[in-house]
Amino acid sequence: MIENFKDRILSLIEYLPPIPGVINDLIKLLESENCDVREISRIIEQDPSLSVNVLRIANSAFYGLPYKVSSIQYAVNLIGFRELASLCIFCGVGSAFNPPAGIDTIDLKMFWKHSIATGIIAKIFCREFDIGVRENLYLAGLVHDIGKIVIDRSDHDIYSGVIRLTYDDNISVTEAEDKIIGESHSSIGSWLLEKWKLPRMFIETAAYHHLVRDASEEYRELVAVISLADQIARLKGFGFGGDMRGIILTGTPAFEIVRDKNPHIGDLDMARFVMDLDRADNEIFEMEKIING
Amino acid sequence: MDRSYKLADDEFNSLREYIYKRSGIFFTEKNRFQLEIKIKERLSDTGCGNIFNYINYLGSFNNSSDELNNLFNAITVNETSFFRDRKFISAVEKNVIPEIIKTNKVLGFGQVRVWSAASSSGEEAYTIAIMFAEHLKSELSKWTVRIIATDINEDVLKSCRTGIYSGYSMRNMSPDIRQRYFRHIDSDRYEIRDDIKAMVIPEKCNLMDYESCRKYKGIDLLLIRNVLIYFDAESKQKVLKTCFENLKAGGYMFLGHAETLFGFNNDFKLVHFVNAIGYKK
Ligand SMILES: C[S@@+](CC[C@H](N)C(=O)[O-])C[C@H]1O[C@@H](n2cnc3c(N)ncnc32)[C@H](O)[C@@H]1O
Ligand SMILES: [Fe+2]
Ligand SMILES: [Fe+2]
Ligand SMILES: [Fe+2]
Ligand SMILES: [Fe+2]
Repeated sequence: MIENFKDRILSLIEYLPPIPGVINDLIKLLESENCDVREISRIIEQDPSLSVNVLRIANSAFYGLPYKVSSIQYAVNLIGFRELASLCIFCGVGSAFNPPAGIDTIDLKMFWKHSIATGIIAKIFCREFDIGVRENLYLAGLVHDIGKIVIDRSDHDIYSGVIRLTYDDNISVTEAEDKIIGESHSSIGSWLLEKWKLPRMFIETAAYHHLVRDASEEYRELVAVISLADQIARLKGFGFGGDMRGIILTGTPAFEIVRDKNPHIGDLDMARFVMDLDRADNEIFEMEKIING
Repeated sequence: MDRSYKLADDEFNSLREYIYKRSGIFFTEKNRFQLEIKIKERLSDTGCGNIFNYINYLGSFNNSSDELNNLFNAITVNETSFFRDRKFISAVEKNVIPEIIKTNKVLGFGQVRVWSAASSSGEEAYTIAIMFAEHLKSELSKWTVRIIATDINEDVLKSCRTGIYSGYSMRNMSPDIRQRYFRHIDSDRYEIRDDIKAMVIPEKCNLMDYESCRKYKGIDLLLIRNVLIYFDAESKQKVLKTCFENLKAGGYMFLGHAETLFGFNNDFKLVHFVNAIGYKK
């Protein structure tokens, strides 16, 4: 086990630059119950680089429009306020982690693809199975594993050892972290999101997606959905690390939590659902393009 | 000359009813033409002329007449190959075999029972044998790994017993595996290594016949791949019940690519692997 690992991580988080003010404004907006299109458009328009990004997103193949969008307000209407705010917040969070030139990192492409897939699969799962969680699933998926990047930035040699162990021993990242550093990406991610004052639901998603029963009553179902989507992403080949083990999805605590609130999912064809998810591939690739600029 | 024997409606119904009762295989309207092609030679070989004579002829023998075998041999689809379906192979190789070896190992050695039900000419069974050999390496001789390869069709069982295959059936196999496990006989014939051949036991078994299936008990790994598609719902349910009984607690069962148990059986637990599914007792 590594000495002082937690202290080192905490001081790294302490010294990370704060997220930009405009992102903070969006986060506050995301939390408020009622917010109108004009308000979010005004915030975005104040920041030129954010505005450019929003138009790029609106005009991407992902939304597949036959014409060009050039007004922020129109883009907000089109994409939906929450989804757009999520993407902006995510771009802000992500850019804080753009690696300085020349440093070694974990496979960031694979990492973001996994995070995107988790968000998209969570959305499809809830839509298709009529699960009562709808809001902010996407951003929750995007940030659930953010702690992995923090650890990697703190000590790449150690974290690449963790990832290598997942391949050698066919175990999960969490298990490998436990063996090598004694601290998990879950708690580390939640410390970061706490410092950045993201809404509680995202902090809990990061903290408990591998320990869903510990999430608060209020967000337990959301965390459980993300946890299931996290596994399903892995099963569809969008995993992170070398864990190839089988899993009885319907026997996981996450599935039980979702089923308790939505008893009908007990009768659904999970085998078919996961097989048919191939249609999410395109969405995942397109979103990857948006996020990687 | 015509490739098929045009079945009248009442002939088609009687014939498919008869086949269904004997094998569980159900010919739908969509597959009618295939049956018309396949039955033609049976009618001319037996000199029966029409379907009603043919069914009478079959009925004049006991359960396992030669002609019933000829009929089974004619109507079954036996398409198979080594290492068929990469995702399934990878799940078995990375997860299932290591788990079985771990749980069955006692004092450094152990026993394993695999049942390849509907194994066709044996490629599936020998693939599993090779995978166990790859995992057990020098320990292989201390283990008893029995792979029972059964089918209803005697022709394919015959090829399984020879252990001789063409390059085409080995198209998904790495050259390295082919090198180490096969001997090149001549042009396009390869013979499987003797110790691997000894692990596989070919036997005739009709999945519709409960008595003949139930003797394959205590199974760690059961493959029933790409055969249930020929059965109707009722036959599927019947077969799957026997499969469940025959598996050990904790044993695995795999269906063919894109096949699921949904709607036919609730006894098994669904296990998701990366891009593949399996079932566990
Ligand atoms: C397409 S092959 C599948 C071979 C192999 N399992 C695979 O997936 O590659 C189907 C096999 O099922 C056999 N079969 C059909 N009905 C059967 C029955 N009632 N009992 C046993 N075998 C049967 C056929 O003879 C054929 O060899
Ligand atoms: Fe995670
Ligand atoms: Fe994850
Ligand atoms: Fe994970
Ligand atoms: Fe297949």
